[in-house]
Amino acid sequence: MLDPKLLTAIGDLELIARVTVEGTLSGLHKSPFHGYSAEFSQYRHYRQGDDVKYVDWKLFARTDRLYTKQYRETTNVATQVLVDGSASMAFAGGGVEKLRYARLVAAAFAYLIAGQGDAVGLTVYDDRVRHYFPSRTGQPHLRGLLTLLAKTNAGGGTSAASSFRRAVDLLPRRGVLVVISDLYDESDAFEAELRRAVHIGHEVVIFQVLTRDELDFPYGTDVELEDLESKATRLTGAGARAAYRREFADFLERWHARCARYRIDYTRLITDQPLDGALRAYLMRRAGSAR
Amino acid sequence: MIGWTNPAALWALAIAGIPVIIHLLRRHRAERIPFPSLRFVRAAESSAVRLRRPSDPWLLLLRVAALGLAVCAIAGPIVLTEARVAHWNATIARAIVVDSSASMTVPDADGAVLARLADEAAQAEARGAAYSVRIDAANIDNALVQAAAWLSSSPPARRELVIITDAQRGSVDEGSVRRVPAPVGIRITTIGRNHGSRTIDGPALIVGPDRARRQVVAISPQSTSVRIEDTVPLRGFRILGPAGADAATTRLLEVAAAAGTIAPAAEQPIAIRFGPTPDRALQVSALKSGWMLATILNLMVEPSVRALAASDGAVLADEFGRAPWTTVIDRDGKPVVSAAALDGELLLQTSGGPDGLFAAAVARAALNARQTRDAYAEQEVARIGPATMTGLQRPAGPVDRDAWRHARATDARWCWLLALIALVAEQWVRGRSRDRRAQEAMRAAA
Repeated sequence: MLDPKLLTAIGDLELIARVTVEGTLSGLHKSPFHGYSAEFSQYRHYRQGDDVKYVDWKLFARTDRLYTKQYRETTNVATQVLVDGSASMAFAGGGVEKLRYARLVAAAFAYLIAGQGDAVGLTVYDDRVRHYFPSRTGQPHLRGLLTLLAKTNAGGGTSAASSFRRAVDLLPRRGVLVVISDLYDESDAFEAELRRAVHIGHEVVIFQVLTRDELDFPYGTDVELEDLESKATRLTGAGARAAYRREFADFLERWHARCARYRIDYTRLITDQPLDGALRAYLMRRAGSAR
Repeated sequence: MIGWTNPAALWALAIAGIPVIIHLLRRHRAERIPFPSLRFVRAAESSAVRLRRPSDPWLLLLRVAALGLAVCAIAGPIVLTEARVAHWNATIARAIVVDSSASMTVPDADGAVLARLADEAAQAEARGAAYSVRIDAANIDNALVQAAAWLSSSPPARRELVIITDAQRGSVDEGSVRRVPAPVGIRITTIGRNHGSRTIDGPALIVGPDRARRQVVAISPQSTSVRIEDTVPLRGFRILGPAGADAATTRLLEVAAAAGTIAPAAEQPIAIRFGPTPDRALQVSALKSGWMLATILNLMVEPSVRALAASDGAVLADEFGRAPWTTVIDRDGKPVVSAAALDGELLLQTSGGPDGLFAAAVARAALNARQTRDAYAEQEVARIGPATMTGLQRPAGPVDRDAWRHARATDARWCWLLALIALVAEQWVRGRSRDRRAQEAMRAAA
């Protein structure tokens, strides 16, 4: 297992991505992102809403059951990784900074996708698009993407809707949108953009990056918390812990339900968890669901 | 009872509250921690203002104690115990007034020099006192005022004033001792043996335009008599100026003789010049000799000079208002007499002519300036009688209640010592707390 603290201490993002992907994800060579390409993958039962053109009528004639052919997209899956660079991502909570962790996740994904010959791009946003790197293939492109990613720092507020919409619109075809964020933006606009992206055929994957302190609220003594984005302060203490945990659990549950509702792949990453383990678990889960 | 020699410093006791204030401020200033979002954080006002116990009450207590003790030390505490007051009452603060008048400079009837006897007596008195001061003065009245002032601020002790004198009658009287406050004891130490009688030469008096007569004064305890003896020629006085100056001189000296004026002395010659304008041929310089200055000062304060100058109406030229001239002004502020030195001679330039009353007043005042009444007093052979002497003296009273205010040695050293102990203890407690925290951190890390 690769300790996140150790990984973030290494400056070479490409090396980290390579170690993470090649060293620990061996055996998962297939693309985790399935499309409808020429290479047949498997049959599955027909579900309402499936395109009838993929129904295997010959099999239907033999078995009297409706099966849909599923194909593995072997190339040219355009993936856009969206990294939340808002100030709230600068929180470390005594451990690894969320943005550093998000950078590692993004780098690993980019490396994984580019390594399969697929196009990968990067969008760094806060309350607007700060950096945009279009989805392309090739090692030089990947290197440029990782360089840009390595330079990303946290700052600014969060308004994901417009940035997400732009990333969606700039994807040349149906593709994959990987959002890596703490998801403090729960605005209706963002939710609408997520819904729209799914509706027009994109696959949306969300990694919610959080620290242990955000989950546990460990502040036992009186403290004055300062909002990293608005700079507002609030005196609080151990007495507020129970309410915080309750409301934060509701917040997480809302995201979980929202993603389930829109068939968005939702994964929660805690920064004290080993990155390779988290990714491996995610990819294995995904590989399993794809079978 | 505790007294404070510097009670104003007790205001600084507020400093002792600094550690408590720091604690209170730190208590209210919660640690500020950045946090991603306050959306789910509820304010807990009650916890923010809740009174918290100090993290280490002993540390706080020791810091307050150290500061408080230091302030107390600066305030100069004195614990007024009976033993301490008894010690003060057994101690003497003595002001020694030594008569240094002219009579003390001459041998007494036994041939002993009184000044030396007085010096020995003063040294003996100083040795017998814990605190002492010696004041040598020709005028005992003035010395008593100084002595009383010193005793009023002397360290706590029985206060005594010792006068060492030849006890000439009139040198010390009840008026003198009234200047000394009651608790202060007064003791008069008489030195030397007085002469039975004394004969001295008095100043010569002008008896005509060209001669003076010597006076011989015989002083005994019972009487004083003046005998006019032989006539001597008059020297040391002249009038400069126009023709007829000799006649003017004669007239002036006749007037002076009629008024009982002291004769001029050849070693202190005086010249008077009349008229408002200077004689530039004269090489004058600024007054240098003491007798010249005394003469011009006498002219300045002599009422007849100032009064008659106004009636005369004549005013000196402006040139006399500048160096080297020293000028006497009249009631209206106008220069009427100016003085300068002329080859060892005192030159007086007056504004009026030689025939006026003003000229006579200037001449008389200038000649009488050398008259010293104290010179006769110092020749007194009678001493203060035993009954009077007893009435003038009194024993020193006990130390009064406020005497501790002037104590030089206070109990501040004990406060400093305790403050030092408190600081050492504070260091020790702080080190112990630090070690404990380090151990806790290590345990937590493990």
